[in-house]
Amino acid sequence: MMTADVQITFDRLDTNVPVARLRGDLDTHAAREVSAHTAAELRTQHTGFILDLSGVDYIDSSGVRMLVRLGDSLEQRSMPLLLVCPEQSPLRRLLKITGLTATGVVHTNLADAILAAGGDARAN
Amino acid sequence: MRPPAPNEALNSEEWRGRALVLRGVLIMNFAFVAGFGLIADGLGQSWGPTPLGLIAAGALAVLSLTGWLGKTEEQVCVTIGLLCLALVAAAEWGTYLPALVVVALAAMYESRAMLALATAGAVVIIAGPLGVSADAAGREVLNILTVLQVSVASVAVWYFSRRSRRLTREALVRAQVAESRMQALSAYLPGLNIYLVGHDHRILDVAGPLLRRPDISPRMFFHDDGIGRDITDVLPERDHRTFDQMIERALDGEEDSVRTEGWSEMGAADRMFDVRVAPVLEDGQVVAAMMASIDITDRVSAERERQEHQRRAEQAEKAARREHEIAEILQTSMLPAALPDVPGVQLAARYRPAHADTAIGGDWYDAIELTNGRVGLAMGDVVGHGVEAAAHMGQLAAALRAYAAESDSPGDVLARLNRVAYATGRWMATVCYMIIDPAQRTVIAASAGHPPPQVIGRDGGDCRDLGEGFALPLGSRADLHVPTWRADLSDGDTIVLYTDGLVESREMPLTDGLARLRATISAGSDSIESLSDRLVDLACDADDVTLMVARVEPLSGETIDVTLEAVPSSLAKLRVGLRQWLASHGTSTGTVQEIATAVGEAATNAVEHAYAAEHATFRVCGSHHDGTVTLQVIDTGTWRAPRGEHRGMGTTIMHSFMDHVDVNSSPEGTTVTLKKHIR
Repeated sequence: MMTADVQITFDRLDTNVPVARLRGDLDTHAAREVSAHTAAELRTQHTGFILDLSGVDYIDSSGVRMLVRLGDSLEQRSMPLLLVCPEQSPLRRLLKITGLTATGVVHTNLADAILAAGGDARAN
Repeated sequence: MRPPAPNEALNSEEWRGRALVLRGVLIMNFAFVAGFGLIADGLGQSWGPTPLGLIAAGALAVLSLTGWLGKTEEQVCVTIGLLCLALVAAAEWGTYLPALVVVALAAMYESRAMLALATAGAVVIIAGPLGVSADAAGREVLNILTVLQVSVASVAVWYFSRRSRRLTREALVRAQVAESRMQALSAYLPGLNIYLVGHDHRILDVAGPLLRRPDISPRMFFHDDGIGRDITDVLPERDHRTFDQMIERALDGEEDSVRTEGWSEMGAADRMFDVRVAPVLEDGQVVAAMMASIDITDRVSAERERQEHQRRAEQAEKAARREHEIAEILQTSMLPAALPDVPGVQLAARYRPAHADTAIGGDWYDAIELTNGRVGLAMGDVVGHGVEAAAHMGQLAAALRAYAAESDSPGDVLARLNRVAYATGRWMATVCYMIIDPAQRTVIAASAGHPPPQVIGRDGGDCRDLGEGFALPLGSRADLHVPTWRADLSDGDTIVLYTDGLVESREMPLTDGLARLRATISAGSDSIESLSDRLVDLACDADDVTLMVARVEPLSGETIDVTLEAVPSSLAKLRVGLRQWLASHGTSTGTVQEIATAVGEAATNAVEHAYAAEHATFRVCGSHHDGTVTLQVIDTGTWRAPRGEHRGMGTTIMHSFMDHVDVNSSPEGTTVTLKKHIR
């Protein structure tokens, strides 16, 4: 539970590719909290990190900036960031406009993302 | 005490008169011997200062120095001296004239002149036996004086005896008058002791209960011969000065009183007395001073007791007033300073503390902004009054805020609050907590023993209880299950939350109070503020009155106009209101999403412009005309030019999602205008 209009739950923390599921709206208020919570959960044994945006109804430029910055900082730790966003998600258009889709980090479902990160989908 | 009998007083005055005559004659003869003995040389050459004259002069000097000589006697001596000088002059110059002048002068001094003449006459009597020889002139004078001396001596004796009788008669009358007066006073005021004191400060009479005491002897006030003692001998030394002065003033005609501790000499060391000294008048003349003392110990202690009672009562009242103030401060400080601005819900609240002479109750209300544009409304009443109730209310208020942020279930929040109340002393409270979701048009709520909230639709009609399943009050048992119920709302629905102070009092049973409340709500009102005012007026002021009114606002109007605090948490509220407004204009879901995102970008900029300045706000207004929606985001900051790698992203998004984007920036502020065709 957080004070902003977004909820974050962590999953698969014991595997090498943990998943954070977001629910709610990812605006500038929420982005600050997500960023802080995520950094606190990541460990060195993790080889990748997946943010599941399936439950997110809204994202704006500050949300996208947060994703980009998070991706950059994880890249430095050799821990690529992958996003999950289904085709019918209202976020799709914005992710495309901002060029995030073009970077290849956006996957349509969780299993694809886990595979792409070199993790074992069955461990989910 | 036995007062002196009238005849005893008479005797005493008679003897005083006789003593006075004796003293006068004695002085007279002393003076005359001294005078003539000393100046005999002047009358005849053969005369010289005689040993007897020297002795008499010496005796006069001693008497004068010891103070025994009265004023009259001193005048006698001076007169004799003058007369002797006159006789010397007569002998020297051979004429009687100077002697006659002196005699005439002396005669002008009334009785003293008679004494002087008597003195002069005595010269002859004394001169003869001493064998004094004088010349012819001196002898003639002496012969005349001898005759005068005899006659004057007779007159003097007559005068003094007459004066003595007059004094005696006066004393008798005064004693009788005083006696009857004192008896009357004493009878009238039991416990009053009275002393009658003469001009010489001697006690003339004593009356009062003192006389009946076996340990008090008459000798304390009177000598054996019945003559009164000096009052200062009777009074303890401690008070001599005070009473001496008071008696002196009373004899001058002034009245005075003093409060003094009892005299241990009279066996009354632990008592208090009020002593009054007043003049006793006869024919306008002060004849004595009356000193009256009365025991006021009981009166004083009663007075002290009364003052003590009064002091305690005042202290108790002060403490009660202080507690009332503290409770009021505590209570008021717990209440929200301002109600939150929630799009889609109008809020109004009233809190009126109990009247000053009754105890403040533990009423409280709160309105909490929740996520997704929802608002939580809480209303509670802690059982009990005063500071304790207010303190418990503070605990409840703080705990509810914490639990409200953690749980979306009102029943769960109240169940947790119950554990707080039960664990911290089992104090009881009734609470109603509800969450209004303006976007979903729903309310979920739970109540623990609280009077049922009322709800009425936009079009009036009868108001009704909102919800069902009310649990016991908080603190009534260790584990309390509080059901959560849900109700749908419509635009314009008005919900009224209140405490029992509004519907129940000593004069008004609950059922009547509820009926009045419902009637007032059903009567309808244009604004929730005026409805709140009318509801508060229903209550008497013996108990706290607390109420909160919420009205679900329609967001489907032609225009939208909201002003929000320039903080990140306002963005979600804005989206809720905006989505609802857009949806009411038939906008498709995808388009709603695009417009909300574009407006969100502009609003995010407005929030960032505020630079965390306190109380900064921004405004969003919009209109729909001919299928085109126009929205403006207005702030008082300056437009921040895109910075950094991704800074231009917001502008890109706005241009992608909207048909028209215009940013108008000036030193006064920035207005972003966005337009989009929706159908």
